[in-house]
Amino acid sequence: MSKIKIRGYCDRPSAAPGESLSFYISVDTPGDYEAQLVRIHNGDIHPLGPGFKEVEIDAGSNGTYPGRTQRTQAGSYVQIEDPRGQLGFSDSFSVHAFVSAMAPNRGRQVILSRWDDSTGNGWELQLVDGALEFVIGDGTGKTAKARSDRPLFTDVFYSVVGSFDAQSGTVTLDQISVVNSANSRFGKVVPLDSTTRVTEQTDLVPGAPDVPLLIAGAAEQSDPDRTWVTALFNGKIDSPKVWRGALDAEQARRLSEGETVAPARLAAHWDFAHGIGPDGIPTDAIRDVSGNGLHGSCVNQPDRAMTGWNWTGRQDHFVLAPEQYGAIWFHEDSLDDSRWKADFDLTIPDLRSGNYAMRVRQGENEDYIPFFVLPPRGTATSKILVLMPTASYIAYANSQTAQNSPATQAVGGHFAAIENIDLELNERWKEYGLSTYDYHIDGRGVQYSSWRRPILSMRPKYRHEFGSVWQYPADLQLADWLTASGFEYDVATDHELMEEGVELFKRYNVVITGSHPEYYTEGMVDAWEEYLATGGRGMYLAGNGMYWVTAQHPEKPYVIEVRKGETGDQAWKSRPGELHMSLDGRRGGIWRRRARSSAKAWGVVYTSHCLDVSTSFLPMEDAHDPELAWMFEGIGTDVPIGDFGLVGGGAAGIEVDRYELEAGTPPNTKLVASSYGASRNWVLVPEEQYFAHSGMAGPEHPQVRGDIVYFSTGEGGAMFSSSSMAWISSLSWNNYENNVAQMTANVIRRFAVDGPLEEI
Amino acid sequence: MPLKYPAEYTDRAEDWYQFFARNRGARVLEMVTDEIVEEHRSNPTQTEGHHSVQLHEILNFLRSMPIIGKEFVYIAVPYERYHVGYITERGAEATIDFDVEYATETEAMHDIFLRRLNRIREMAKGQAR
Repeated sequence: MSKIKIRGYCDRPSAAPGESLSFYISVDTPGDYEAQLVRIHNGDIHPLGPGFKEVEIDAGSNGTYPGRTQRTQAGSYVQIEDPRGQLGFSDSFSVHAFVSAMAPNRGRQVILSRWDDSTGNGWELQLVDGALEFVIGDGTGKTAKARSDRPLFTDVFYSVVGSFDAQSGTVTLDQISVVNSANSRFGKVVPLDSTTRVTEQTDLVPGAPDVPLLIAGAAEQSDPDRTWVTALFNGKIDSPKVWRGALDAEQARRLSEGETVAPARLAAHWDFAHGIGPDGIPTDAIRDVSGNGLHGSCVNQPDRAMTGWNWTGRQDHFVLAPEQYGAIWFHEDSLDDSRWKADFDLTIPDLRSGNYAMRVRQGENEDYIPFFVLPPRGTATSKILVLMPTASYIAYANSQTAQNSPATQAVGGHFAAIENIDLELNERWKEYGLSTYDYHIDGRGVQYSSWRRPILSMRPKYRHEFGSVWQYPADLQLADWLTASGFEYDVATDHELMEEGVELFKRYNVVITGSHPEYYTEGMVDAWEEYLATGGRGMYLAGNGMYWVTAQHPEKPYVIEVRKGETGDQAWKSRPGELHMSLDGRRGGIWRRRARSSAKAWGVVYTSHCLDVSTSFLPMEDAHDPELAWMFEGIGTDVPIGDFGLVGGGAAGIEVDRYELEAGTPPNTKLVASSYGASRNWVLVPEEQYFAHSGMAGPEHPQVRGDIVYFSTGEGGAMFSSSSMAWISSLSWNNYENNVAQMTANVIRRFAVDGPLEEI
Repeated sequence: MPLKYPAEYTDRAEDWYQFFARNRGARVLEMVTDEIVEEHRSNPTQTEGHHSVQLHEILNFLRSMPIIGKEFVYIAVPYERYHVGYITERGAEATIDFDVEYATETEAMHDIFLRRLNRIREMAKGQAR
């Protein structure tokens, strides 16, 4: 039973006055709902904080709308339109693919089809309860099939041929295991008897339904408006092909060895590696290389540039051996766009830049759909820019680790505390999609994530499955404090930074991060580096920032890609040979392993997660440097900084970074203050662990700490880093009167002035 | 000898995990004293100071138990009303124990601590039989 009755999304994270956003709403019970534009000032309902704050805003789109239940197509597949019926056969034909099933016992999963599921018309190559079948049907309810007598081993490549011979009246399935030393879960030492050939007699002639050919699914029915796909496949498919005429056993054997057979009768050959280049394969396009023009398109962003049936393990980058990366990994629970029908558009009024949301209410049920209003394009209306980390919001979107990962409570250092949003996300996971912290149902880590779906984990009033406000509601605390303290600021997002680069930053005297800007594209890293090197001032009020190498989809800017792996504080690891990103061809993993550690730009590098309890920062020697006296104005250098807060009771917590020259901290950096007093659940990150040993956690390990740092950059620039995700959640403590707020304000005032800063 | 049917080959590591759970669980139970239970009751989230090494070790085991059936705090009304829930398979509705209500999150957390210890005790009894 759904826990959430109304939900929605908008088409992109931000817009400037005069621009339009489209909103998509779905309700469980059809009936009217109210839409109201609001500005969100604070999203945390913690009783010791300032409480939830919203202000209703006049807008042309405010009003009543008829609500409807909108359906979501989950799961990834390839759709090949076949308007001339080239792939529907009444005479002999054959299909072939290399297949590696990752969850073979999840019921029925279709690998290749031109099949109307409502009438049983056409043909399909499918996996049913672990065994392959080749099926034909004439649409009258009669079907014929050849079913394998050898169930598939999980994560093992097979060469599979299905054929219909009209002359002999037979359907045949050829299944040949093609395990080599690298392409499958186990290797050649296993004496596998998983090859078989099954033939069945039939007097049926398959029909040719008016549906597209689908790879990794089957059409529910013929539908001129939209093809809905069912029985989605979980696993890898490589080099699917279709022939006119029936292939024999010898031809099936030759196919399993990568040879070409019957080229004159080839009707289609989809080469998933076609288009791989130095910049990856950043497209949904699928190419038919047979010459028959039956090209297609991916839907719901399957995993591209995956190791294929012939991968040898000698090259680990698809650019160096594209012919070994002909596989796509499909999942029944991929989602890159809910693709709902738009309910209404909002033309952004002449609003102050900031954090806004469309509030939709139906009876007692409500949802807030957040977005960000920019200043007019190309302008700044303040000297201060707050950069909302939308790439990171997308990476975490709808995460469900507390209900799926046995390690979550141990990582967090506390028992999970979750609410209806979390239960809804887990119960109806296919409709909401997953985050890069989750696993697909077939065990693969999620490498793509999208804005275009209801992101219930990015909502005001929501705490988070990790046990404290996380990202968006925490970042609203910064916005609330800035407003309460009288600072005027503009808001932009990672998406503007990805689009404009450093030109965005150059319009401001100071740029402030949100609490957890973890996911960074190369262009974003470049922008920060250039901004700071040329007189810009930055405030990193966060922990674990600029960490995961991230790519943005060039055709779908609302989609990001991450390839976790090798090392890092991570939910999953890319499999061997799959660490490079499909969307830009670059190596994934953490920026530190690409020589672009956050320490080079922000002076600190991620060192520990610490989600159980926070602590304070203690002033270090540099705190007494007279050149830094301005930072301690109104505070003093002899008291703890932030021994209070709404998250864990301190300003140092959740995730923290440290000063580290070896990682790239500038040599002129001042170590202002450090946290001391870590609990045993503060654990050193894996990339710092060489020989593992006992004592790699707080309070024993000296690298388990957060550091407040300051340094000057070229042309009068400077950087201040508080190095803790919990910092922002201490700003509003004691009605905004506290030394975290005081220090933050001291830095902002100094950084916001015109002209170069004095070098320290 | 040739391997034909994947269903014939189960994950034998499961034998070890069950062995580990039994034996480690028994050791964890030995570490539980009235003082330890009171330490957790009075300070489940370490806001009043860090847990002792002994409690930390017990909690590591409890927090790392298998995911299905694991207890969680269900936030019915934030800062007002809580229950204990049990994690189910993805796609299935979670089970909530609405018979017991807690006014604070920390009370619910302590009850999870007790419930998990009870589960280990039951597991130990089953083993004894």
